[in-house]
Amino acid sequence: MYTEKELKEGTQIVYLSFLSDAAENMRMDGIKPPFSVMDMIKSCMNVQSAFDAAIADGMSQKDIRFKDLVKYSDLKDSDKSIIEEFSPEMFDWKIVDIQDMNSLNGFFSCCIETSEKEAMIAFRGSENMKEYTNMVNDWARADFGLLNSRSTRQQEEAEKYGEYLLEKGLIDKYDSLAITGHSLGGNLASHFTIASAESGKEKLFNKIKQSINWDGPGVSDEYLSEHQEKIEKAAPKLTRYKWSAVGTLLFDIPGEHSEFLGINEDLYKDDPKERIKYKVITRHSTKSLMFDENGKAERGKQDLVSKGLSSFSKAIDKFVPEHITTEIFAAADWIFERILRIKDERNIEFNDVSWAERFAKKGSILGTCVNFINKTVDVFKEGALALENEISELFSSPQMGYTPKLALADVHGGMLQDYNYNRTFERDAEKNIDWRRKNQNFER
Amino acid sequence: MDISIFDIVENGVSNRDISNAITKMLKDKYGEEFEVKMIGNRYGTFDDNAVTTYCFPKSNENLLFTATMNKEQTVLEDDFYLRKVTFDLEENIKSEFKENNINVIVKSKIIGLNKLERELTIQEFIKKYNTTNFIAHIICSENVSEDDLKNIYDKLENKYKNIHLKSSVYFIDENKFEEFSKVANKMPSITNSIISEYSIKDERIIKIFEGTVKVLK
Repeated sequence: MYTEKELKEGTQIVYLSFLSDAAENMRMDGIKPPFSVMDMIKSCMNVQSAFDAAIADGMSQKDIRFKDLVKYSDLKDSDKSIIEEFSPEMFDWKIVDIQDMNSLNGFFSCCIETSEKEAMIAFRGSENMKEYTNMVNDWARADFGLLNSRSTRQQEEAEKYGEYLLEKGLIDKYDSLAITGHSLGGNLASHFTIASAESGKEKLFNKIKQSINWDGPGVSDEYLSEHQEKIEKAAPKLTRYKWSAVGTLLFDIPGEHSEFLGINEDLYKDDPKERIKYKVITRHSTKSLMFDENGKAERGKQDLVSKGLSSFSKAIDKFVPEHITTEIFAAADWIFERILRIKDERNIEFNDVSWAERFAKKGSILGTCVNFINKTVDVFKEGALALENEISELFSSPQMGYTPKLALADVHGGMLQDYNYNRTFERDAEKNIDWRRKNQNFER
Repeated sequence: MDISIFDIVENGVSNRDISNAITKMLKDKYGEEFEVKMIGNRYGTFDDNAVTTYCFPKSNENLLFTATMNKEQTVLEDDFYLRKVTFDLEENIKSEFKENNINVIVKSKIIGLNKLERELTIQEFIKKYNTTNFIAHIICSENVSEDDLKNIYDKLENKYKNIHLKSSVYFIDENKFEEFSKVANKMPSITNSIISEYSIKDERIIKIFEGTVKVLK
């Protein structure tokens, strides 16, 4: 059994951007997997030039550790910051297999051997790359797929990956498996375990001893109905840890163990701007977590922002017909974007607490938007009118130093200026509905 | 404008804003016009504070490269100059196969280097970074004999003295080739996992190292 810290570390490895390149580089040299994490890192960096750079920077040869070489290497900064957090034993973990469909549909997973008899299957769960000129159509299939969905494309990939691991016998040698993933990867980890509960996959399912969703979203109402039987079987193995708004989106899986984790409140204490971002947004990173000497994560309680957004996401999923989900979110996003733009343009400062509260309140604003737009199709004009009072209230508070009239002028003025955008949106929305009709998903 | 539930949780910066910011930064850096083809990977990254785009210079829409920006729109990491080198290599590999009447899709990468400070030709690059490896995925719709492959790679070695090139040549079903070509055209690079979706019939690993061509498999 892994500690919580080790399972969190598994999610960090899959965030490395060069894993596939490293594996290909080694495979083309005739080396067969598994590859140690350290060898993979080395294969993607020029060790000698990193060493020379460390010496040139005044380090003495005997003090240079592998992490120092990484720091002085030409690896990407994002990769360096991930490796910097690695515990020493992680460098000896071995990558047995990688499934990298990231450029195609966002899916990335790998099987990590940590000892002779134990392995983890970790999921990255990135947002897929979408064509800039064809956004609306892609919502339905991509990240938005979590709403109103029976399963998303990445969930299908996760399921396929389980079948592939079984078919290739890649998990045969292990007595126990842990499934882990952060953010959307957490959702995929849960789905992987649920999908493994299907008849015929006992060899895989029985080996799964732990399955952790680290602050990833839950599932839709439709998903719960579709996978009910498998959920009943898999639920005792599932754990969901939450510490930001992302982790509280959508519905919990009945029977899964769920807890709120605490975040490191000392981070960014001396940087008010970063601290606001941290409290509201960047807390979602696994870097926020704290672990004791036994590798157990510190527990905590739900924050204000996630309370607001949690209800909002559930309401959208449960009450809003599938075919207008994207339109609703487009309207909500448009308004949200205007709010943030006005804030920037007028240099409005928020203090830590009020910003968090206002963010939570946006849940209710958007909730109103959802209810209203549910009754009308004219998203932009009518939706904005319904929101007038609440938006003006938000902007006219003393802390904002902003009058309701100005706020409304900005909102409506922006809409008129965005005429071209609206036309594009309407056209794309029609295409989207056509696409759904063609795929027989229109009627539910 | 694109939107996801995660954008709402985060900061709601629209794709239009991202695209404008990135193309402006690229223009300031390289002095030419760029466009964004794909956007994504905003969340599901370690700190959820970056956005990835696949861009191309308006002068060559096939030259896709990756540009990453943080959400404050201040930091841009891109591999434009590196991709110019690999793109030229890809074009040369394609034309060598073409001389043997074989159509191929080629995607290549440089391993061990993430950015170039200035534009270099392939020859200049090899001279400056003489221990750096290129890896390439080459996808063919028809079988190529080992002798033909050896000839093609001998010509490449002759053209690019001292190149370190490792490559996988995949043979896929002819009817999947066009479909795969469309998918590959949307990405600056491809992976073995993606190619595996297109019914690989056979694979050869071929290396050019220190002036020698070796067919490994």
